[in-house]
Amino acid sequence: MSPLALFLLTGLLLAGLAPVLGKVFKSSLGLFAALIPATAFTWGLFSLKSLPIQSLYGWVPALGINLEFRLDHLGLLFWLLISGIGTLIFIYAGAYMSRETLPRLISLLSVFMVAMLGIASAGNTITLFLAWEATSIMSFLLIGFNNANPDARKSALQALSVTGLGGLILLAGLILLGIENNSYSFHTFTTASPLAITLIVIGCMTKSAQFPFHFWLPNAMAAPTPVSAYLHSATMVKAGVFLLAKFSPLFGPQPILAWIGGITLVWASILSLGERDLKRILAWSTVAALGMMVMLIGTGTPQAAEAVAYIILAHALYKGALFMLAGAIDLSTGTRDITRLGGLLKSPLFLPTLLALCSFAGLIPFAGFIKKELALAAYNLTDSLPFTIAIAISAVAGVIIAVTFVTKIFIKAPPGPLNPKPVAFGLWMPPLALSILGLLAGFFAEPLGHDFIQYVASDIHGESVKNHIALWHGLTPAFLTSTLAIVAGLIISPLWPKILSALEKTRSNFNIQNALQQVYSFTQTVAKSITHFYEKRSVREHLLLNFAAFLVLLVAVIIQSPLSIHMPAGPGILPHEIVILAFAAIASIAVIFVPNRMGSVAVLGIVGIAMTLTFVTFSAPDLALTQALIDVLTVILFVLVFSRLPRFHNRLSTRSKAVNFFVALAFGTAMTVVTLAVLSNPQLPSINHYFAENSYVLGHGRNVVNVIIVDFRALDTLGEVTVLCLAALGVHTLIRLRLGFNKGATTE
Amino acid sequence: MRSLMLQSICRFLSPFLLMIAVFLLLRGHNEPGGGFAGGLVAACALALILLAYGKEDMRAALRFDPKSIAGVGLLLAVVSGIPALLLSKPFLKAIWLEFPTPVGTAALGTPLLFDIGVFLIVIGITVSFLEDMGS
Repeated sequence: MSPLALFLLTGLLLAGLAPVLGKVFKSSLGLFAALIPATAFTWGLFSLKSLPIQSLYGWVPALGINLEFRLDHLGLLFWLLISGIGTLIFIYAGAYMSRETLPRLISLLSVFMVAMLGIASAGNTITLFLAWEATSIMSFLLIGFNNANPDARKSALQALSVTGLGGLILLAGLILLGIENNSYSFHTFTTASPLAITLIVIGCMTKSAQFPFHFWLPNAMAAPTPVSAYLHSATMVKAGVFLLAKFSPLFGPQPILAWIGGITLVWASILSLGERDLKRILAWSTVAALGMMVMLIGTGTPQAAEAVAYIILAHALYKGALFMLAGAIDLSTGTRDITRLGGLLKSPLFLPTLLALCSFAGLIPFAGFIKKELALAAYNLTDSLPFTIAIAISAVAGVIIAVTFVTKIFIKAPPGPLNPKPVAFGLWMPPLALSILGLLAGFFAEPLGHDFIQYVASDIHGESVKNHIALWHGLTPAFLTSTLAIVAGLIISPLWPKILSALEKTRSNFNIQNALQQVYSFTQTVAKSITHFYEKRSVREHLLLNFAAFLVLLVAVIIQSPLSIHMPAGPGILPHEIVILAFAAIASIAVIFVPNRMGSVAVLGIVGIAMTLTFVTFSAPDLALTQALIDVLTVILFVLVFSRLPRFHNRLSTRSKAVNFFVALAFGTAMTVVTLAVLSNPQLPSINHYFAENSYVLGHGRNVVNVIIVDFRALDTLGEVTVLCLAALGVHTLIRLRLGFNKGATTE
Repeated sequence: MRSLMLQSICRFLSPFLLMIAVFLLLRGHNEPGGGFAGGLVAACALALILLAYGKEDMRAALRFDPKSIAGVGLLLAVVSGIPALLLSKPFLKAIWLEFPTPVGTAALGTPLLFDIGVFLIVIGITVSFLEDMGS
């Protein structure tokens, strides 16, 4: 088994065992769990020279669908980010979460990590989509982790709606691409129609929170901080960027995408100044950074590809650290509201925050500086001024936020009493490690670019890209622009409180979320009125509606393609069969005239017995046995239920009785006609003979029915029994709910 | 409300029904029967105890939560597909072990495990329904 698959399986195993391991390791579960991503990270580092790494597992080979893995340089960059930051996040989560909630978080995070590693190493679109959907679902579960909080549930649902809808659009695009190229493997794609490109791009935009799908990301901050740091800044939201980058050689430059990214960049940079909550500020600036990556991918030049590759790394390093620090500040002081914080200079959180903010603001020699340089260098001032301005605006916003963070959180005295609690080692060590890595990534930018980033850029661009990354390029226009932005940021930053209040006032006027909310509530209203119309009726009316609707559809079908019926040839009806059928017929008619429910059930039992006997005469003992048993149990079930119902009163008017009679008669006749038509027109060659001949040879059994159920068609049976179990749980819950209401007590 | 007659019949009948259930389960591969039918018979036996003695006594006779029984059954059914995977065959492909006995060759295979799974699921679900309806 290849190491790729081994890591994925181990991660899933960890997810399954986390509740048990939680009892063994208690609060050091985080440290233990971190071993798995740490191993994956180390493996990733050592496999740099042996790329691409491939492996293939058959899944539905007949349809050309396989689990295919292919790790290239771009994939390895993500692999390292996911496993490296994952290691730190697991350690951090061990210190952040309470002992009761930690195993559940570790479990969900492991599944998420596996899915993300799957995206990074996917070799075909099917594998990628599988992992993609898994990340959406895990994101839903993790945003709604505090499931007692209605806001968290709402945000989770919002994120799932946006990314889930995007996932469906993406699937359509990927299938289209598969049909156009007659293959699903990434390295075999040669063409892409505009429609496929559009669908895939929209899918990626929802995942990476691009305008106008950006609003879900700040709301996703309802999740516990380890989740925000991991999913909603460092890894998952970059999945869209990753896929766009992977398809970039195929799609070529996309000016519209560049504009969308640019708009997102400017829009989110400005909105990041209008928040008080540390995590929401960081979330908006994450949206801005994603916008910058999308903008550069859309631009599609070699310089842009290089910039994207480096930005993905640099952003994950400082933003992951800042999120973890925001969570640590929250735990220590009990608030994330920047206007209520202050005076934390002596806290161990100061140093890592300062380092991460230096990178965030783009100071030399941090990774953030090179990130900004590369982005600016990708555009030339005369041809693409709007993009340069967009980057400059985001740089100014970054500096303002960094300065505000330092002064408001650390230097200025808090406006009210604030009693910071001591900060655990696991809360400040992981962000410090990331911040230092951010400094190193800036300091050693040249070897990093030469040994790794230029290959990633080549994967993104499609052709070989030469390394341009260096810490110091001289007094270039990019350097001047970036210096100007820092100066502007320093000048504007004292005005931040005014910007905040101005933005808070105007924000409510522009709100895409509200529009979405209205679509939601409209859908709900329509659904409710349909349900109300249909569900409030009695069971009798319910059945009447169902039967009538079925009849209408059936008549429509018969008019389109008339049925031909010829009676099947046979030995004719034997005397004992006439007796059985007579019993069934008499009982069917008698059931109408029985005055109480128990009587009706008993008479219907006669019909069941007649059916059982019919099966016996046609030598189908298995069917007869099952029919008889089901009949017995149904009667018992009826007895248990009916004993609670009020007395049966037949208060129907003659008119509705006539309607019921007509519908029942028509329905019965229709079913008979359809059955006869099906029997007289065998459409397909029967497979019965195959089963009969091979039952003993292949299935070691003489009972063909059973061999079919447990062997030939075992997968079908497994599906059926799974549905059965789920249905049973649903019924159980519903009944319990009902009992709870009756007692006026809360449900189980 | 308890009927002495029903209780007496139940004491006599339910062990037989349970034996028949296992009998049906095991003979199912060659003669009419199988996990589904066997499970229904076992459920009938438990329903009889439920009607005669009530929920608590039925639970005491069953020992486990019916939902857990169904869960274990589902697990068995899934697990029965794994040996095939280990031999690089499609999931759920039947794997048979044959060994000689004094009366001929006996074959034991994963379908039996699958059938036991179905048997347990049917018991678990049916009893869970009956319990809920009866409570």
